[in-house]
Amino acid sequence: MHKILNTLKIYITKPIIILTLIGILTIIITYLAKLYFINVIETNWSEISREKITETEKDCADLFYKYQNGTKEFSDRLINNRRLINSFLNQNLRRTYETFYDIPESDLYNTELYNSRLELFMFSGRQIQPGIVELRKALGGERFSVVKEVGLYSYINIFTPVISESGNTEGVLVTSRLLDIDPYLRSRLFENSGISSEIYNKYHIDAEFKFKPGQNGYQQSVTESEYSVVNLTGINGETIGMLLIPKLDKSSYILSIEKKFDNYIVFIVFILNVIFIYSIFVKLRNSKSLLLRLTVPVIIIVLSRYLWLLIEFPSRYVREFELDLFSPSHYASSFGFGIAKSLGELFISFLALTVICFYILSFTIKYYPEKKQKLSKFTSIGVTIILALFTLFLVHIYGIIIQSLIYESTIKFIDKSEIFSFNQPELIIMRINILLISVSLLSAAVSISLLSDKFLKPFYVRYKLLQRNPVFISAVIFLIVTFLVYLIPSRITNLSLNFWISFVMIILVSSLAIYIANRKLYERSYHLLNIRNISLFLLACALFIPAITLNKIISQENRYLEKAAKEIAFQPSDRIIFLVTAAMEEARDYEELSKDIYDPN
Amino acid sequence: MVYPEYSFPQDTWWKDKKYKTKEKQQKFDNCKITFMNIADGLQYNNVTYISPYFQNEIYLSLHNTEKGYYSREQSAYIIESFFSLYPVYSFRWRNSTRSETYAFAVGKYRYKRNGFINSFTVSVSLKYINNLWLIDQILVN
Repeated sequence: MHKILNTLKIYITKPIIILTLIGILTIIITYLAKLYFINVIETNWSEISREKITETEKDCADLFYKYQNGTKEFSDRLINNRRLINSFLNQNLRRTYETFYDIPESDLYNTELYNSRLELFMFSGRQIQPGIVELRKALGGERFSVVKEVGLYSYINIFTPVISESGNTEGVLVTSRLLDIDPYLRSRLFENSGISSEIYNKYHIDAEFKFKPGQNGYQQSVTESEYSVVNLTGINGETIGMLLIPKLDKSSYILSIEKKFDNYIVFIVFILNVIFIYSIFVKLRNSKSLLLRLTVPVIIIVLSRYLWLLIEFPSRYVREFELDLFSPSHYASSFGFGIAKSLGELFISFLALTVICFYILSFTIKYYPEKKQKLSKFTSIGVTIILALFTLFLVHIYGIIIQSLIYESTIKFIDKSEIFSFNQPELIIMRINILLISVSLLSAAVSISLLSDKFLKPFYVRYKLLQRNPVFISAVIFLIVTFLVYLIPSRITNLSLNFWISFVMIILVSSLAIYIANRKLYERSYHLLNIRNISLFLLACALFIPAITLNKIISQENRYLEKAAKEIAFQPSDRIIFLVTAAMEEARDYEELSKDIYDPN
Repeated sequence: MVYPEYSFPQDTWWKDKKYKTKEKQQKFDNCKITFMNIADGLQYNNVTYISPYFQNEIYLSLHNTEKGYYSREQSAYIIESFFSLYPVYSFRWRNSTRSETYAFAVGKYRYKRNGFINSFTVSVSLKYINNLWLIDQILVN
């Protein structure tokens, strides 16, 4: 116990203590601030909710007025264009169209021009077909706005009387812009268009617009107490519709505040963790114990990885933006208590694994020729065979991982139309993941190969040729073991990769080990992390990754065929009933639809 | 006449029927229990209440998630992720129907987001496989 405490003292230095204390203090202060804010919210809820809802109401209404004002400005631009108005008054259709299309943004808005007999003179874009009452009202000299629902779309319309130089109203100009799309249809076909979508993207609320007044006007048609109502006024000050915003909920509001504080606390915990890892790595450089230098960083990286998983870093931040990277829909595996529960988590886990494997390899290289193991000839060969079997086991595990990445993911691996698919960012992440796990495997296997050479070295020291090419003997043993293992019937071994792929991988591992051992002989301070070595590792990966992925993708295609056959054999009537009933149930919520069904007009 | 071994209070979402055989009564009682456990999972945002009823592949169509067939493990993580993104405010079944091999229920899932309460319609269908009611599809709109 005393010994352990002494060892710990070496690693816990003043800066670490100070930084840790600052971090812990910040976490405590943040936590206390969180409690304080929650208390304030609970006490002054009515005031806070009123403020917040007023702000939301204003923002949502402003969004509507932005649409209305934009359409009004366009209408102003048209009505102030003398050339256009004169062409219209002179009944010159060709010139009217020519002038109209020269006006900027004419393609963004729908425009209709009616003469004094309310006959359509020209139109551009979608024809809104305004009602005769509205046209007459405008012909009477009034300028106003209304929202008209045409089929599945809602348009904001501006009616402007066209007045001649003598002061008489000679026609009506109607300009309109798409305001919203039917909410039932929008969720399926038009994901991000319309004012409701804009409000949803900003506040995550399902705001509702009502542009059809009830029997006693707009206000009386709302019976829901869960909404706050905002009256929307047209350009002439009359109410033309209303906006229903869900009321603020205390528990939901407190949850959103808690989340913000938690995000901050999690970030501090992560920073503390990084400082801790860095300090340990720096301190370990001076440690004399090889075992500590090898095991402590590995343990710390693994524990840190689980800490990040526990505090949901960085997934909680990415999730807030609804990005797909940490969504389990592309890939998820329950392996390792959630370290592979999404593509993003898998990337972090594989990155940590690559760092660990590279660290072990650089450690092995650093102490490669220093300590030779003096064992008997048979024991040394026996140990080498065990290490070769362990390498084959790693290759087998690697095959299982690649199989899982392909089988359990929903990513389209082969897109015949494009070699490098940028339409699927998740595919790029998945490819990086495959590269990381492949580099990790190579690093681990090369470390084992170099380690096995330590046991064999005392026996070939006398032979100059072998001395110049270390690791050669262990490479031969590795290849023989691979060959022998694959002679055993596959139903017994059940290896995940076929003989040729494993054989090529062992050859590549041995070649890399021979190369590294050779360089180490001639260079005094040999470093693993340089461009040449990284290029060699990537080149080796490029040789076997396509073969393995293609092999697994072909197997997956066979699985798809089996699945398709099963689907065809399944009686679909029940499922169809389910889908139809689910759609009808959903439609039941949609008041307007049922009204329209019963309305004979 | 065979009387049911278990009896439940009359729920509005589930229309109790009397069946001719005890086995059949038991079968549909189990169906109701399955839906109730799924409702508990949704009500408490706990996927472990739901995951025992997953079949090997489930069709999921969740808000903001690519719709399609997912494995048991993946489905559990997808639902867990959905719960953390849209924490529940309340959940209740509204309606259900059932046939010999298929049953489905529709409910309203109200969730908390940015200080407001919004809602989704949740539809779950079950398939009767090897004397067990297992989830076939989950739709969230």
